[in-house]
Parts: sequence; C-alpha cells; structure tokens
Amino acid sequence: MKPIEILLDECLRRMEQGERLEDCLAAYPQQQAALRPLLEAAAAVRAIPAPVAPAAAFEKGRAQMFAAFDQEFLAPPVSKSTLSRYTEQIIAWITGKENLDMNLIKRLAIALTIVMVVLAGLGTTAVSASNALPGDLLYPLKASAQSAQLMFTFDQHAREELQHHFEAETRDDVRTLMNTQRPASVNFIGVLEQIDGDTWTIGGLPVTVDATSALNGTPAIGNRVHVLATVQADGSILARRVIVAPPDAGKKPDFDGAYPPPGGAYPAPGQTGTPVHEQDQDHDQEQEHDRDQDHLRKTATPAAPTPTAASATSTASSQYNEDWFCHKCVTPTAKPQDSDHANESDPPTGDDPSNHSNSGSADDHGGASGDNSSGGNTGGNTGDQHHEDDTHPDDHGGGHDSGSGDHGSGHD
Amino acid sequence: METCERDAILMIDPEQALIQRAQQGDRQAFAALYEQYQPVIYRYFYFRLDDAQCAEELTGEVFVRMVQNIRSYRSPRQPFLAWLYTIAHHLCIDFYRKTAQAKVAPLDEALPSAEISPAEALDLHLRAECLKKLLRYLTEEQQFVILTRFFEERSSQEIAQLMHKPEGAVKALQHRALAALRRAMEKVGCHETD
Repeated sequence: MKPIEILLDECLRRMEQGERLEDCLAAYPQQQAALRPLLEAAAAVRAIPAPVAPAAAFEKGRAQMFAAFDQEFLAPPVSKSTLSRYTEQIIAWITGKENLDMNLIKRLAIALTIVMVVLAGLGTTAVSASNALPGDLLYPLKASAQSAQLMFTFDQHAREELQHHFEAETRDDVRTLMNTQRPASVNFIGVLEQIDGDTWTIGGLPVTVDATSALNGTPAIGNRVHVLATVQADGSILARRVIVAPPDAGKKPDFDGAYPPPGGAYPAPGQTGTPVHEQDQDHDQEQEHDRDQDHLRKTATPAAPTPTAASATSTASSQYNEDWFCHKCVTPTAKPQDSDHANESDPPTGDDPSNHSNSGSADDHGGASGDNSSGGNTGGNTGDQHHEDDTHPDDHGGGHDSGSGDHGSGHD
Repeated sequence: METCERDAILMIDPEQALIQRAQQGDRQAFAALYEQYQPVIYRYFYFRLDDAQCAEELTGEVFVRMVQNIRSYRSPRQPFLAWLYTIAHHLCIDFYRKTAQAKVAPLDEALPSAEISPAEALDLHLRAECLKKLLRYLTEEQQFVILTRFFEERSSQEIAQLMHKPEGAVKALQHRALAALRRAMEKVGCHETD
C-alpha cells in the first residue's frame, strides 16, 4: 500500500483536475479516514480567494522598479579612476558617511598580505645572511650589506668604528669555521700579535704561515695584515697570502707607490724580512695568485670610486681590501715576472680600467647574491530560507494543537 | 556549439530569454517579469505577514532588488522564482527583526468583491481570516508548500525544484502541513464556518 502522503498528493492532483472529494476518497476506501480531514483542509485553503495587491500598490511597485532600473542601467558610467574611487570610499568611510565597500576591503587585505609576505621573505633572507659564514651561499649578501652600510656611514669616526666592528665580525666567522672544522676560503684583516715559527697570531686567530704562503710587505708585530687563507678540515688556518698593510692603511691608505717598498722587502716564509719575490716568480705561486684574485672577485663588493676611500680598512669583503690587494699586489693583468711588482707602484686611480674590471667583479658578486553585495547575498541558495528538517515526522504538531500565539512567536 | 545550445535553451525556455534580456538592460523585459511575478510575491508576503501594507511595500522592494542584482542571477543554479523567493525571504526576516510585534492587517482590500453576496463575503472573510491566521502558525516550509500548491497551483515536482528538495520530501511536507492545519482548524473552529 502506498504511503499516505503519496495518496494525498494523488488525490490533490485529481481534485485539481476537477474530481470531487468524495470520488477521490472512494478510490481509496481503506485510507478514507486518514485522507478525509486532510483533503477537507486542502479544500478549505483552496477556497480562500487568492489575495491580490491593490492596483495602486501594483503601479507604485512598478514605478519603484523602473526608478531602480534607471539608476542601475541608465546612469552614466563611472569615469573616475579606480584609485580615486577607492580614495573617495575610504574618506567616506572615515567620515562615517557610508560603509566601506567589501571589495575594497578584500583588495586592500590582499595587497597588505602580499606586502607582508614579501617583507617577511626579505627579513628572513636578511636574517639568514647575517648568520652566514664564509663559503655559504648567502655570505656574499652579508658582505654586500656590510659594504653598503659603510658606504652610507658618512661620519669618519663612525665609519672607522663600523669598519673595525665588521673586521672583528669576520674574524668571529673564521673562528666559528675553525671550531666547527669546516673547510673554507677566508679573507680577513687583523693585527699581527705574535710570530711563533710557522704559527702567527693575527687578530687573535692562529694562522699557519709556511713555505707555501706568500708574503707581501714586511710583517712586524703590531702591523695590520690582510690574510687570504684556508680553514682546513682539522680546523687550522693555513695562510695562502699575508699582506702587510701600510702603516696608515687602517685609516687613510696611500697608494702613491709607497707600498710595498720598491725592491720588495718580502719576508721569507716562516721568517720576517726575507724577500720572497723568487717565490712570486714561481709558476705555482702565480696560479695561486690567480686563485686569490678569483677569490677576491667572489667576495668583492661594488667598487668605490677610488681606493683611497676612508673605507680602506674594511673587512675582506670591503672595497679597500679589494683595491689594496688587486692593484697594489696582484693586478690581474700582471705577468709572472719580477716586474709584476712594478705594477704595484702604479697608482690606481678611479679612472683606471682595472678598477672598472674590479667593479665588474663586484657586480658579478652582486649577481651571485641575487641568485641567492546585499544583492549577492539575497541571490544565494534557496535552501537558506528553509531551516526545518523536512524528514521530521511531527515537527510542529504540538504547537498547532495548542493553537496558541506561542507557536507563532516561535516561528517568527 | 555553445551558441547553438544557448539558442536551443532560449527556444525551449522563454522565461530564460526574458531574464537574459533583462540582464542586458531591456526595460520591457523587466516590465514583463514584474507582471508575471508580482502577484506571486505579493501572496507570499500576504500570508507571511500580518500587515497588508507592509506586504505591498516589501513586494515592491523585491523587484527593486531584482533590478539591482539581476546580473548576478545564474539560471542553472536555481529557478528564477526561487531566486525571487530568496530575496523575499531575506526581506521577511528583516521585517521580523524590525517589528517586534506583528500587526493584524485589514483583509478587505485583498478580497474579490464581485459576484458574492454580503453574507457570503462575511463568511468568506471570516473563514479566510481564520485560515490566514492559522497558516501563520505553520512553519515557513509548510507555509511555502501550502502557498505554492494551493495558490500558485504548482505540482509537487515544481515545488521540489523551487525548494531544492526531493519530491518525496515535498509530499511529506505537504502532508504534515495539511495535518497540522486540520488540527488547528478543529481547535479554533475555522471549519465550522462552512
């Protein structure tokens, strides 16, 4: 037997087609008792005349609709720019004249999110670079940042202090590499504090200076020296080249041929004061010479106009060191001969093409671092308007039984 | 291919063609939609509210919003009437929020006066008024089924489409609505006016 709701629907359809209530009930004799009250209620409802809005209300509604039509479809198009419209909206919102458009809020939120993500990314990179050690991918970025900081420090005294701070920081980085026994090429500046055979103490770091190490200048206790070295797997530092800075190199370097001294008073490996120019003539030494040059290129920063800048005491990554080393000692174009030191006497100037080549290397370095509506709501789902579970058997029967206003208010 | 399909749909469903014209800003299309759906929406408000004047005003507001938002209407999502009912539903909710107490509206202007005697009109008035009040005690979904079935004369299948429900659920809802109405009629005595 069919469920009562199916029979009811069938009877209602037959009655809609003109069949009488009694005829329909006769078709389902066993369900008459259940169907009759329902069909009578349906007939009573159907007997209610369909309400019709008064003609005046009908016309008024139509006029309202056409007014909305004129505004929506016939209004002149907005000619203002997006920016000016948004600005006006924000001003209107601030002044409380109208609510802020949700689209504007969304777009502002998206833009703000993008800016925050970019800033967070840059911040993360900067923090990572600040913790980088020589040999790390981000280390050149750190060196560039230091160089830029020096460049924009215009007070002489402050710049010198900053320079020494960076030098100490570089030595700390080298010390970290030693402690972690992490091999890497390093490049730092420090004061020669002690010479004990092959072991020199430079800036608090023990540096092995043996027969393979090249010396430029005459090292003496208290000199500031520039060290190109390798941190080896056992944590020791093996110098590849030690360059003695001129006496005032830390403050105002003089490149007018005064350093190194003509004739080259190069100390022998493991000794001071012994010329080493014979070794410089050695082919292997020259190869190392090139390697050092490459190293400097990799660790170089954007070139300063002249090597006589006050940043001459920068760390291994500073422009001063690069120029000091490249133009005075190991000019890239120098040939493996005695006369290669002759180049050292040539005062490098800002116009020197080799400076430009250094600038180019600095650029390369920079490149390396780079590698590193309500209507819309109303148009929603129809289902939104129905909150009752239609499968509920007798959801409101009690309320209807009582017929009290309580049910009505609850429904509201 | 898409154009052909769209043309085929437009040929099959003139209402969709009308809506598409309205979306393109055709004033006459809006007029036609108003003519077609204004009585339906008015009846919805009439049985949902106690205030006939409010029903008139809210009916007008539905069509204002229809104009303002018709571009956002997408036919595959829901029938156009269901979309209008949704607008009406939201307006109804707003109305209930704003008016803490329902008011009883005069029914006279809504009743047809021709071809019935004063006695019949009084009886009809009383019975209609009684049933109208009882209808308000039904749930919103029950009201909707009664309204669309007996005043709009729509089939269960059509109502199911409007309500986004299975046809069987609509039939069950219809059964519960009539049963609840019958119980209320017996309680109040509306049926004794026959």
